[in-house]
Amino acid sequence: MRVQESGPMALLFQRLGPKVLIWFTLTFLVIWTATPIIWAILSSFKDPLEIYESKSLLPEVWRLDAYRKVLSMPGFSTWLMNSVIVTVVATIVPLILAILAAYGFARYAFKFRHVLLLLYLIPRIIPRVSLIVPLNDLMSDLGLINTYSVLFITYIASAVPLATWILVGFFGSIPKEIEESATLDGANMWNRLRHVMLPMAWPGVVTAAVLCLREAWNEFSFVLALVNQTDMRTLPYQLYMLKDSMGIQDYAVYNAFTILTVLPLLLVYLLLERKVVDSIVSGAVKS
Amino acid sequence: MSHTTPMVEDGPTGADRLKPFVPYLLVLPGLLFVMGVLGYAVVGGIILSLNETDMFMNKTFVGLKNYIDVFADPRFQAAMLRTLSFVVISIVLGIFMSMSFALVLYKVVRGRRFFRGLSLVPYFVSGIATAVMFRFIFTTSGGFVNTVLAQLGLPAQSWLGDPTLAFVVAIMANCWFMVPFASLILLGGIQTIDKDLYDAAAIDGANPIQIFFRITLPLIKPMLGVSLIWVSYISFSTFDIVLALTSGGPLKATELVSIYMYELAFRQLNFGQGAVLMVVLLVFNTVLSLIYIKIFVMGDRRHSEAGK
Amino acid sequence: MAEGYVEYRNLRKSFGGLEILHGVDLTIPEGAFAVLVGPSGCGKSTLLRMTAGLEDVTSGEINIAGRMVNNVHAKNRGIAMVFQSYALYPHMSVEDNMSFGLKMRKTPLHLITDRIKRAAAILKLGPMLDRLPSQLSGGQRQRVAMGRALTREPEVFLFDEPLSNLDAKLRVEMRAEIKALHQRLKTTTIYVTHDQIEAMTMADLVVVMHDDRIEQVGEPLAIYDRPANLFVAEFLGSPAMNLIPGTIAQDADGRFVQTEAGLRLPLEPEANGTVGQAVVYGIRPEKPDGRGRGGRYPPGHCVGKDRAVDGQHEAAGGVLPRRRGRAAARR
Repeated sequence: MRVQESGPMALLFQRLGPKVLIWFTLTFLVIWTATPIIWAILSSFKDPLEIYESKSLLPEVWRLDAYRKVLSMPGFSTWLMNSVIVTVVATIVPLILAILAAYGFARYAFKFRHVLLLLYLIPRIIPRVSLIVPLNDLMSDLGLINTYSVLFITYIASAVPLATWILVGFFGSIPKEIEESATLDGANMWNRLRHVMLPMAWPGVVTAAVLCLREAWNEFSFVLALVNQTDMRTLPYQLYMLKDSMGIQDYAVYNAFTILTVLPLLLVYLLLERKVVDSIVSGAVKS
Repeated sequence: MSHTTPMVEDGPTGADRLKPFVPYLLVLPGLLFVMGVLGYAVVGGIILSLNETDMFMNKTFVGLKNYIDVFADPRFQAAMLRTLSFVVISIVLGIFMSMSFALVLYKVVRGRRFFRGLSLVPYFVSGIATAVMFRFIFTTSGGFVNTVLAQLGLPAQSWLGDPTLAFVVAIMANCWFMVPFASLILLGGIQTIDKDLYDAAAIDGANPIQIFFRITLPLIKPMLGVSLIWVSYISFSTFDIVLALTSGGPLKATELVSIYMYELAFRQLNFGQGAVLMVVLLVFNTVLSLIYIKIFVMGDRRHSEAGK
Repeated sequence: MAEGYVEYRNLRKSFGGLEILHGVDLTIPEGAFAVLVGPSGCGKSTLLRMTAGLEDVTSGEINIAGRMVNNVHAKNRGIAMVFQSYALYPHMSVEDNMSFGLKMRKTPLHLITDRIKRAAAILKLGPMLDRLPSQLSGGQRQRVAMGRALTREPEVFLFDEPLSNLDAKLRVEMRAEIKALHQRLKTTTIYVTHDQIEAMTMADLVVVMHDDRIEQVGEPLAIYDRPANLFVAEFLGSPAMNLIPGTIAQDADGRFVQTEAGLRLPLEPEANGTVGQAVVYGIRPEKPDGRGRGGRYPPGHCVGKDRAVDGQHEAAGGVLPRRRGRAAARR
């Protein structure tokens, strides 16, 4: 520090400057993160006309009309079910495949291990949107457009590498001795996996599950490319289609629909937030 | 070796005949499935890009004609330039924001868990929902920003109607979605740094800015690489956010390569040329990722491993 | 319990062309407490892990209780092992940790309860049965690891540096406790350590290993007094044995060792070595007088209750072959 800076004012600035900066950034972070969601929530409770005319941020009256309208949409339950079915399958199946693969990578030394591990990484750098063009073409040829199978196949294929990479890290961090101890205790591979590896890697399994859930629940490009029947749409797809399907835009309904599609996944996240955040911060999750 | 005792079970003892295949049996099912689907799609796409398709999906092999046509197409060139500027601005802004958030999340003591949990929320909001939310933030009548402006007595702006502003809004929505994950990755890197280093640097007379550039930044290089890969991957393949936010408009101001690809294939039913854009996206993204890996992750492997 | 012994015949282990265990021959009698001791990387852990069935045998044989176990799965070898890191299952209570192996073997429930009760009583684990390993101290974890081995009622106990994660005081306590446990159960035990004090105080049979082979086998005092070679002489004892190079010479009184400094050191009549042979003369620091001729010591420095003295001295001792490797004193 130079001499003229160490006067009382400079010292005060030095002490307070960083604090002010931190609070400023933190405030920005909160506003930036929360505003879109809060605004959507507020708008969803407003009267459609009020949105256009009112100059107030809060609804004049908190109305549930928009939610009633969304829930009574013909097809809403179908879209919801589609989303749930696809998400459940596209979470469980990739998890199983990934657990097996990750265990193999973490615990065995074998030929081509490194190459195979890299092959698991490559799909993560392929932009998924780019695949919609050939997928539509190929799946039409196979007659799979507008089927659950095609959604299962594509969703699972894009989730397996992610889950595998997360779990390799978690399995790898479990000391080998513990598994050896289980071997001496008479546990075979399945028992070791079930009673030792999975419980110990549980935060990783949860994280992998939540991230698979997220990919499947929010997936849009694949449905867009592979589905064109109304009754095969998932929630994000229907949310996108709302723009065209509503003559005059009912902003409140639009917002209510958005909240309803986002809410289930956010609840899952909030429930398991600790494990997910810790896993990402610990560097175990790398896109 | 001449052993007569029969092997009782699988496991590390080893004489089991199946044993050498166990790792492959574990690893290959998932990989074959992934490679089957994604590899099939990539190869299929490359073949498709060499064919001309008509409305009934009849294909004729035309070699590189699609590539020549696409590269000569001014609309593609514009989309490409637009994508590059979208990506560059997104990366600069995204990394700046991620780094600021990461530092703040590191520094904050009270409510640390809450802020971290909150910061990741956008990551769980789908691209479409993100786009819809941002539309209602910036929509001309009844949007959040214009309502606030009105309360301040300022004139309303047509955010999504103005080409430049719409482009900016698209970048903001993109950042909203991708920054949280990147900032947690960076936070992870910052946390692994030994606190003694900061004290040592402070004793050596370094000010906070010097500490950041001389200590923090070099030590989180691998994490910086990972978040750069993430940020540019997301920006390059941004599709749903922009499609639902602006559909590429107004006046094609937000028509990125991915949007134009969708337009070509699914609206104009020109799958051959659409597939060319797929190859373009694929090649750009792969090259970019490899460059980052080379610069940040490989070069500094020692650090990242020591940090674990 | 306490039946069987462990026998190795020309046991070898290679890893990708590199031999990391060169032909081990060793017999551990029933009920013995054998300690494999040597510097890190000497192959002692490999030998233990091969005994456990965690590493393949490249060639040679391992026999436990008269049965060749090379191809017997680890869980069927009748062994139990205590790991250096304890390898407790962190998500299971102490009780579950101890019963896991029995459950895996489908042992009847009442037997499991019985054995856990007994093991808990022996190791004073009773009040901790419901706790998780993370809620225990280092010494308690150590006990749980032993309890887990105990409930298995094995024919052979294997310990892999079990005390190296404990602090000095606890280490001494646990040393005594393990020894007492062995005296009570009389189960054949193979114990790996790099700590020569552990080896000397606990073993019935010390097996000194170095450079992937056995240097010497014997009772602690026998090895201490008559190390088979330079390595063993230097490795055992703290402070280390004084080693003085010299040459065997002979005069009217008999053979003696002539040092380079011109000292004349007496030689026991039974010591081997021929006149004119270059040898190293070893003197244990704690018996400098013995048959020596006295000398002047500089002031010593304190090591606990003993006073270690740095100085040069001439005294009695044995003659060691200069060459390392197989020793004449081998059994």
